[in-house]
Amino acid sequence: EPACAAPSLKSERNSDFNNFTYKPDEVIVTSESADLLQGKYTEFNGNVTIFQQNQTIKADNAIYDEVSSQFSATGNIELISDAAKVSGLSVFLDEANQDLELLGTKYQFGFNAGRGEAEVFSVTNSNKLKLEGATFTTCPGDDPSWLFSADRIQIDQDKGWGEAWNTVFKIADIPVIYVPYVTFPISDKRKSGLLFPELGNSTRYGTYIAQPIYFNLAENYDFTLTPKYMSERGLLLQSNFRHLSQNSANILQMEYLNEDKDDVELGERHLAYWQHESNWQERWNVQLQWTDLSDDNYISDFSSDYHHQSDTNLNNFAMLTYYGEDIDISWLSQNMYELGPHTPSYDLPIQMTIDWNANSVGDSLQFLVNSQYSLFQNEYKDVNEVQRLHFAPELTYQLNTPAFQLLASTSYLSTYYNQKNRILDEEQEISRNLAKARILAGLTFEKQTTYFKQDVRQTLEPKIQYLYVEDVDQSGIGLYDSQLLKEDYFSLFRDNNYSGIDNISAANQITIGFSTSIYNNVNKELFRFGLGKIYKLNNDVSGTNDELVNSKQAVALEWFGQLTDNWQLDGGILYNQESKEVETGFVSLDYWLAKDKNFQFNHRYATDVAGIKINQAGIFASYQINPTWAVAASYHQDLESNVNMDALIGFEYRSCCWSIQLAAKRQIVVDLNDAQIDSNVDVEYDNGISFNFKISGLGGDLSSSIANLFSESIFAYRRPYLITN
Amino acid sequence: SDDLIINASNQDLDYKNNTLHFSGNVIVQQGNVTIKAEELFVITKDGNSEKLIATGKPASFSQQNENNDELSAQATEIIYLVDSKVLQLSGDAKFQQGGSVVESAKIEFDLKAQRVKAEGDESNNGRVTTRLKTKKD
Amino acid sequence: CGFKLKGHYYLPESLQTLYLTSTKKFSPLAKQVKIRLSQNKVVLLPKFNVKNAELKILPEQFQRRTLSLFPNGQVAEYELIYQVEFEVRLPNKPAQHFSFELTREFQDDPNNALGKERERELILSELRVLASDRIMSQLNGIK
Repeated sequence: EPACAAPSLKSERNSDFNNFTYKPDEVIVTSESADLLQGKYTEFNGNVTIFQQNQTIKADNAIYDEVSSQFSATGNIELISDAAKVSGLSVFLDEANQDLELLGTKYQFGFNAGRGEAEVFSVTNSNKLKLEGATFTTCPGDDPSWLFSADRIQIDQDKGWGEAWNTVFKIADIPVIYVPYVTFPISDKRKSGLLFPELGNSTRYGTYIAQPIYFNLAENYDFTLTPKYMSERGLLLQSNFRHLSQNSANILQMEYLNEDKDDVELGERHLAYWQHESNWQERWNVQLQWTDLSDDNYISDFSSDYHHQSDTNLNNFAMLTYYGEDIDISWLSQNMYELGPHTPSYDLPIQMTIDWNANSVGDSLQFLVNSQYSLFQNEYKDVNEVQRLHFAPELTYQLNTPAFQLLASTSYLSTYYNQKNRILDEEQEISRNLAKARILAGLTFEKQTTYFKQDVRQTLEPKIQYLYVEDVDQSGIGLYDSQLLKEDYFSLFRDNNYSGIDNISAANQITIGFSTSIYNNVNKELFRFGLGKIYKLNNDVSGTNDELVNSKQAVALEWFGQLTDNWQLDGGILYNQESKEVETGFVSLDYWLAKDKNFQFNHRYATDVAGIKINQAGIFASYQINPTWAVAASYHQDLESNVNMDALIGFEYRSCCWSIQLAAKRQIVVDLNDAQIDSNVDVEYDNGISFNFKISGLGGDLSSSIANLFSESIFAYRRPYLITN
Repeated sequence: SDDLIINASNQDLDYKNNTLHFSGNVIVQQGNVTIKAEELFVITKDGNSEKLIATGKPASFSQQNENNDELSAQATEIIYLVDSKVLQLSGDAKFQQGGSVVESAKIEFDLKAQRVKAEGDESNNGRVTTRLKTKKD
Repeated sequence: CGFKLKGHYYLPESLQTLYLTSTKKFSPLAKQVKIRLSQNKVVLLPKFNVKNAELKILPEQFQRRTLSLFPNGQVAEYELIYQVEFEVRLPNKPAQHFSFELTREFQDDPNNALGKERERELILSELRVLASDRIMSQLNGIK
């Protein structure tokens, strides 16, 4: 660690503090001479020391006014308390309510490395500090590399944060930023570095600076305004309002850029996002999520706290739910708004679902009925309006003990479709009825063992499932809210290959699998290995649109865990026995020496993701050269089209009160306003240098944070969990 | 001023030309003032006592004043100037009144002005220690 | 190789009867935990009482981590990270806090967002069942 941790004040105070026994309402003063006028005042002269419960004051001389029980003292004053060590010209101490005020002071905080000067340093009821005409820095030595100067700084130790008015931030005595009002954490308890300005430069934004301003309006609602100036784009105003109440939670995010210099023809650009949840009269719940964008590419251009930078759609929905004793009813209206030139999915103006359960929760025999009415609309599709009525009674017997799990269920699914085709101008009615049966049984074995010299619990869980789904003709039914499910180890034991009921794949198969896991004493999973296989009992499953209907003969393998003291391996493979090829596979190999001395290699392969082949590899590496210098890099390559998608290199220089991260990055940029997903012909790149200046010593952030650089990468890095580090 | 009542286990009335000497748990009473000591010298001037020098381990002084918060002091040597009503304590001097306590090498107490002056010297590294009672609202 | 059937874990004595609650009113995870508790013959109290244990399900969190991109830079596969937190307070003992993560891979298809959203919801409901089993085995280990 850089050798500049702040001196702890506690030890300093105790030297001459504890040879007095204290009564709560008593002050002890030592001096070279004392002059008491009973009932009026007392004058102390000659290196006077005033001892109190929680602070000690030294002065050349002091006068105690007994009537108002107030001290005033002058001549090289020194105050030492847990909160701060302050030297000054004079002090005024109100003994009754523990307030004090020092003038012309130099101070050093006790709760963090902060220090500086202040014309007035006052303490009210012994934990609220107020500094007027003050400077603040955490750098040791006489000429600090950076400092804040502010008209007024107020620190509330209980709440763990402070406020400052008219603050100028100076680096090496050059004023860099002026902020009228700002709040900052005095410990890492309450808020992370919301205050710190973000400076940077990239081809997309030019040089940019964002300065968040946080207004804690009340205990249950706050507002953050973040003006972000970008030389290539203009001034983007980002605002976030959060409100909580006993029964409701609301988030409103508004962002506005009146003119984007980069694409002027887009006109104003904005994002409005509302997330709401509330409960009414015990059993009713309302949930709502709605986003409005000025154009499809807004999020990938400016990102947002509530969307992922490379999202392909917006999930706008409103849902009302009634949670009854044994019946749940919900009304949903949902629109998945597509970003970019993709075939829009069906809009769902109204969907009503009723789930009725005849038995109480714990019964092993359960009879439940799921029924649902859905109205789908899609003006871009020939079948532009579909009504679907679904009714599915199910009888299940479930036994769930630690050693043995059994699930047996039979159900009858009957679904009626009314599909309107605007081209043929006809209404097609289809009804589909099929039976389904499923038996899933599993055993759990366990033993205590050791894993890298640690006592652990290892489980072995064999599982077997028989699934029968009647093969019926459903070729006339389109896919409205159903999609082929990703096949991996977990999907082997599902009873449908589709996410909805618009296609229920026929099946007459047995699935066998086992998994073994290792848990430490706090039940964290350290290692897992799983293998599963589907056996189809008869191949001649007629049915139409065969590949859609029929489930595959697949083997799935999945593992993750620590191999040696420093190596961890994660991976998974899905092998299709019929086509004799690996359909999906990923591997990630981690070498971990210390928090900032590690390396990861990862590779992903998938034959068909939305019809596209994925074959990508990447590395993450970070290395702490010495306590001040650290370097980190990450590189991800699309092996299919031999294109680099994301490359980062970053250096961090850390002195004890500030740190600089200089990072260069080259990242693929999505332009949803025109690109198709399978072409990277006109793909743009964002090359940027980002410069992140951070002051440290405020909260507990003394350790290096070079690994935070990886959060800039598109492929965020997940730290392996190794027992031995 | 009120007259002085002194009793002690033994006394020597003409110890020197104008000095009386008492020893053995000496108790001096004058109005609301009481002095107790091991040994006492009384310096007289034309017939009435002018200066008392009391010594003890420690000698003690107490006074009950009007608003009856009792005042007390002690030191190895207490000098009492009767006319000017000034008390001079030296040697581990301690003065207590109304909850406040002053301790130092030398303390001078002016009974009329109710004023206390305390001085440290090299015997207790020159420090005066004062304990003040603060009224907590 | 030393494996034997997992002992029929009756939860520790102090957890045979407990009050199940969750900070979010209609938490689906709490409902799933309720099913597992009932299946393991745990007596669920209608309201809190200080003599018995309390199991409080804290709000669940969903994170996403990009795993691979389509040629045009859009997300092809991402990792769904489901974070679970809960507290157990035994009678006249301080609350013990537990948290764990479950992850699943998810392939995106921009051309059928509604179908994909149902897949994401199906995965989350499967993760909740897995999480309730994990919570049960964690309760088993509480002293």
